[in-house]
Amino acid sequence: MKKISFLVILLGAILLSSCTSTNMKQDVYADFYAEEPVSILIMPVINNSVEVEVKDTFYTYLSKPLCEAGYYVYPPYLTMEILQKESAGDSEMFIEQSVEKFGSYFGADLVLFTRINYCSKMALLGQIVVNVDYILRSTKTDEILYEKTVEVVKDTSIDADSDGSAGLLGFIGSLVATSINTAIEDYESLMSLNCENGLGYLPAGKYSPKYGLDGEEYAGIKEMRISR
Amino acid sequence: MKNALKKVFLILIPAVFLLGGVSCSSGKLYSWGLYSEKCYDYTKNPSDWNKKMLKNQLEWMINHPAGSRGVVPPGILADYGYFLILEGETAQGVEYLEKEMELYPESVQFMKKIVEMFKEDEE
Repeated sequence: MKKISFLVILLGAILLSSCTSTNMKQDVYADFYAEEPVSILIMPVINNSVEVEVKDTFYTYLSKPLCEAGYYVYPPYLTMEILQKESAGDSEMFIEQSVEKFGSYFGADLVLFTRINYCSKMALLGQIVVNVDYILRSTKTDEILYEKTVEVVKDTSIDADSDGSAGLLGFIGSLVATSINTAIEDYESLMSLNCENGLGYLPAGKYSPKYGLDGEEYAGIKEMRISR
Repeated sequence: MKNALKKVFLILIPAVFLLGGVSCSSGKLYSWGLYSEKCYDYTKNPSDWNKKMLKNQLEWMINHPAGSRGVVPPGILADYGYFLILEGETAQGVEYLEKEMELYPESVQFMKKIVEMFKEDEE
């Protein structure tokens, strides 16, 4: 009977520990909870990588996770049109400045800035790396209320010569194969994964059933690296 | 004793998984269908075909709201209305912007500005 009691306690402890943490949202995002933001305006993506195309496509990933977190998110296409019309299409101009104007124009509580630091295919290492900053600022106080940097790495190397017998030719062959493979492979799945993690630790918004109840959930770390 | 232990495991293990799943995860608030894919296609190549496909997707989401909230996700009605306005169907487009305001009062400030702007453009 003692054994059974021990097992019950052990399983209960495993269950509880899977959902509790010391790095809790209510501590890390105390200012966020205090402001009780409802709406989020997504700014155009800042792209510091050499891949020009990713700037616009990455923007399309941002709305869904924010809505699913329980926030009102301004319509992406209409918002982009208006931001460009109002000469606010370049987010770099605003990331260090006051964002109060976006509160008064749109009625947004928060403004989301995203910055693609790099998005690279490293043929020699056989890796694709996508590194992005996520910054949510309050339109009332200009303070940063949420900040994460996420790096997703995918190994794309092709082991053409596993026993090493082909020497230099084998290495070059492997390099070419890896290069072709990475050329075919695009960044999209990594971007989506990056985004899910970058915005996945937000406190729940008012449309979420977890609103006001997720303070003891794990807040995630500020800089994370995910290997795929 | 062994049988008792077996019984405990048979009951507890599925219960742990079930409770773990309930307490740590939750369903989606909204139904998105192929929204991400269609947005991606249109953004990458804004051809008439991809625009039509994205519009069809938005229309599908408006007509088939699901997920735990059972309503259209934020921004979808407004973007659909915006596409209609771009095609010259201003009156119908404005109706969708108004529906967005009804469903999401947080949007009122912005939507009112947009409605005024498009009405002025039309005049």
